[in-house]
Amino acid sequence: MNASVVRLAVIGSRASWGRLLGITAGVAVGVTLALLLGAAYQGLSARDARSSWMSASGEYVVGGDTGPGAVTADTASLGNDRVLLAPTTDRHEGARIVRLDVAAPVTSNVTIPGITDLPQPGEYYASPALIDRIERVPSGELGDRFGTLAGTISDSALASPDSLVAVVGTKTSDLIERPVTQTVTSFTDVSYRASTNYQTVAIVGAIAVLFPVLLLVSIVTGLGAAARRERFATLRLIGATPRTVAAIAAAETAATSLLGALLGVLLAALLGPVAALVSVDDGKFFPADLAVTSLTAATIVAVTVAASAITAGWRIRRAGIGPLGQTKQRPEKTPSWLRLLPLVGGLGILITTTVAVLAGLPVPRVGTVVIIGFTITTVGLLVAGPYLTLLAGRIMARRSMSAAGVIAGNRIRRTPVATFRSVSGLVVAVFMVSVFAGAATTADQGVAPGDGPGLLPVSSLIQYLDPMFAAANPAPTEAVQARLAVITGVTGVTTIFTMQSGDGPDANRLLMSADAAHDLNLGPVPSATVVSIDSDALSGAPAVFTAAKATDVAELTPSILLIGTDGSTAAIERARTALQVDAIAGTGWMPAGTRTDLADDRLQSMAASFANLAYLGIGVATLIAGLSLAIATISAMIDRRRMLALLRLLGMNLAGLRRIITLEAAAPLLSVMAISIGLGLLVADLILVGLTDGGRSVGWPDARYIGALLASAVLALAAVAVAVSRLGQNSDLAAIRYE
Amino acid sequence: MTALIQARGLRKSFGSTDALRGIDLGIQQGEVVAVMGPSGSGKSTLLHCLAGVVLPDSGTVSVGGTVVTALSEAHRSKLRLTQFGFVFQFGQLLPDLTAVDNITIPLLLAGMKRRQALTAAHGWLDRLGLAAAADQLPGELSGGEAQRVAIARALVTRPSVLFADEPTGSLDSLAAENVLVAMLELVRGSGTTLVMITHDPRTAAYADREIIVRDGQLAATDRVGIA
Repeated sequence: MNASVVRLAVIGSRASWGRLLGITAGVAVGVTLALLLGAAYQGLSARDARSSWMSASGEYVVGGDTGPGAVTADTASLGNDRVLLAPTTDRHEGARIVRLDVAAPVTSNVTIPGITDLPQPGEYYASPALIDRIERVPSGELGDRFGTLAGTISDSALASPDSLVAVVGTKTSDLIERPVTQTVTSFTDVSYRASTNYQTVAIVGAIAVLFPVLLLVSIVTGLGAAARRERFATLRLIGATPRTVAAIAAAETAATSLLGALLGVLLAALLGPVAALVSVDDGKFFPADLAVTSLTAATIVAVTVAASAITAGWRIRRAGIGPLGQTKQRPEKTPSWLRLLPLVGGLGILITTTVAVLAGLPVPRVGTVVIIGFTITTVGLLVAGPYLTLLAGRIMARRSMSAAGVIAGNRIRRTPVATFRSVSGLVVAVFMVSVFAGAATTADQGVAPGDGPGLLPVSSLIQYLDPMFAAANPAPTEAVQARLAVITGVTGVTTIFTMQSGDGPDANRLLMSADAAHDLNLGPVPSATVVSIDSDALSGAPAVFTAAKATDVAELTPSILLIGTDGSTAAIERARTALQVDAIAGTGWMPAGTRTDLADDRLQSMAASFANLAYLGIGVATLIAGLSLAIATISAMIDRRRMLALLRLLGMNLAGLRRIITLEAAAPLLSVMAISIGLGLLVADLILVGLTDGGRSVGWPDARYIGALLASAVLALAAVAVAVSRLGQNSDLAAIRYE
Repeated sequence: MTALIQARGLRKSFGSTDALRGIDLGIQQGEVVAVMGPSGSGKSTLLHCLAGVVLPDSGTVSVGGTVVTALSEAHRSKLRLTQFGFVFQFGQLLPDLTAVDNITIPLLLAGMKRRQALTAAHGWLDRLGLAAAADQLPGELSGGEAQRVAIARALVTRPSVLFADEPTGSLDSLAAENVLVAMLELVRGSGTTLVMITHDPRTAAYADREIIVRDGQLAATDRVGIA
């Protein structure tokens, strides 16, 4: 192949330069995002692996056990190969702190990642973010909970620079009293048991974002295809073989893709530190987490260039370009209804699973089944898209009363695959955001309501006690109550009792003296010495006092301390710290929290973190999809210059042409997006019901969802508007003369 | 008698090439005019100037008293929609529309209801012997059929002038004859003026008058008078 011929064929005009520039820029954007996405996925895995030591576990300690190897209050009973570990989740100003209390002899051989030595009683190691926080606020609000700082946990053992982690040295005698205490022999060989659901959803999400990126690359490499086909037809006329023109097309695309891919690598390297600032799940990334490795970069560049070049050559060969132009008209194959099958199959899996769960039937690995159903549904939506687009086109072509509608409708029904391709990125983005936004609404359902008549104030701290210990040792509890009462901002301390055994009207209810109930000021209190409320009052249900059967709280077991505060953050944190410093035996296993803190359970935080991740991904996907739509629309106009000019010749004005182009983009977009929204919310509901045994269902998505949809719509309209603004140039009547 | 189409001093250049170098021409209502001349002589440019597709650098064109060259693009679009019809050598049908839908487009643009437009389009297909091809796409039609559909589309709005650029140039002789006869029947039956570019003397022989363009100027204009 003669290089001069290639040069003339590829860059023979100013329009060619514009096209090549467009391809290079599009590939650069695509490769940048692909690299950042890959890095983010690897980064999420890396930080999970780094922080896996916090999930170390072993055998639970049985208090009073005196058998061989039993742990006693004497630290030496642990030997050098075991430590005691009591993991808890503490809180400060709404943020979660991972607190790991450990007890071990000084001579212990066990090591904890990120710290040099095991902390001894009274010492602690903390993550940099926690140290910053401790230094920022008075010690009575946070620092006093831990003791003396012995050192910093290094970044190599932390998930994120924002991670709040403390490894606190504690006496063996204290830890063996706690129900969560375990003996652990190693922190370094903990295999990270990441939730399969999380990983699968992360992979699906990455694919969902990657899909528009690949689509963008595919669309930009097809820019100006019609003009290029004419150029290649001329080459065929002067003697080039089909193989030669295919090779020229491949060489042209390889060169521009290579340039774009290299630019993409450069951009990814520059943008990595900026992307690391985005908070995902547990916080920001360390910049190193998003560093693109040479191997990854080389692989992505090689795959992009090879795939683009091979596709370009194949497209040209398939187009059957002869000396007189494209000799083979290749109308699109009409999509059949069979394309609906994967979508129906995916929904079938989700619906069957949900029905089975609701019916109480055993469903093995329900999480995995639900994720498989979700994945098949997502793929099914993409497979079904052209068929649904065809249906929309048919309806539009039949029902339309205007020339623009007839033309656009028929164009859509003749080219449903190409039409759907240009909007599929946005369709996937909207589907995913609907699923995640729908699933995230469960967090709102679980969150206790705010303050209101009869509701326990959200500013009150709830401290669960170890009933057995508290009943046997009332003095420490009473002493703490006295000390709490004098803390500035604490308005009262109420002891709540329960029955430890037996049944009757007081069983499973929270009991307190009538005087204490009056002090809580939650509503009418019946005239009795002891009254009770339902335990749901602790999670936000209105408190309705009834007279208890019990007549003297002294006969009951103290189970909960309710600490009223003035609502200030400082007062809440001072009280929380005091409770930990005094460390009533049997309370350390579950630090005090407000009912908002206690409602913040794992499922909600997981759903919320998925939603955050999803919104981030959707933002990227939507931008890319909008860009793709604009390029696809412009490309379609360039390729149909003659048709557009012909319509102008027939008397259609520019406004009419704009309507055609807008309808061609908007009709499939809106119809398939409507299906995406409906399907997304349905799938979210099925997933939630399936995973929670019917405990939760989808609520009304929050403002961010509406915002995301509006942003998608605005972006799509902007994309079409940008494309349509070039309509004048692409419908010049001269096209009739010369094309 | 006042000419329907009146061109005065038409000049048009493309870069350094003078396509038209001062053409004066008058065409009567209902007249069939064949424009002939060698390739590059300026025939197509003359036709495009007369139809308001291209504006001349100087000179004027008026149609039915309306000075086309003074109109805005929007008004020229309206003129093309209501007064003119066009037929080209090939590639003029919208590829995504069936034959019948192609014919309805000018009517829809003119504001006619779709149902009425479809009825009218089917009527034209019947007149041209194309009833069976109504639902076929342009790619499924023969060359002759596609040209007859294009003629139907050009005449469906009952224009006062039909501009045809080599309407039979891509057809074999039999198909060309059929298309030409059909087109002439229709224009003569409706009193439509036909301005037709052709290289073929046999085609030109069907015209009332033959105009020869050479080097951007009228070389001759003769009455031939067949039909």
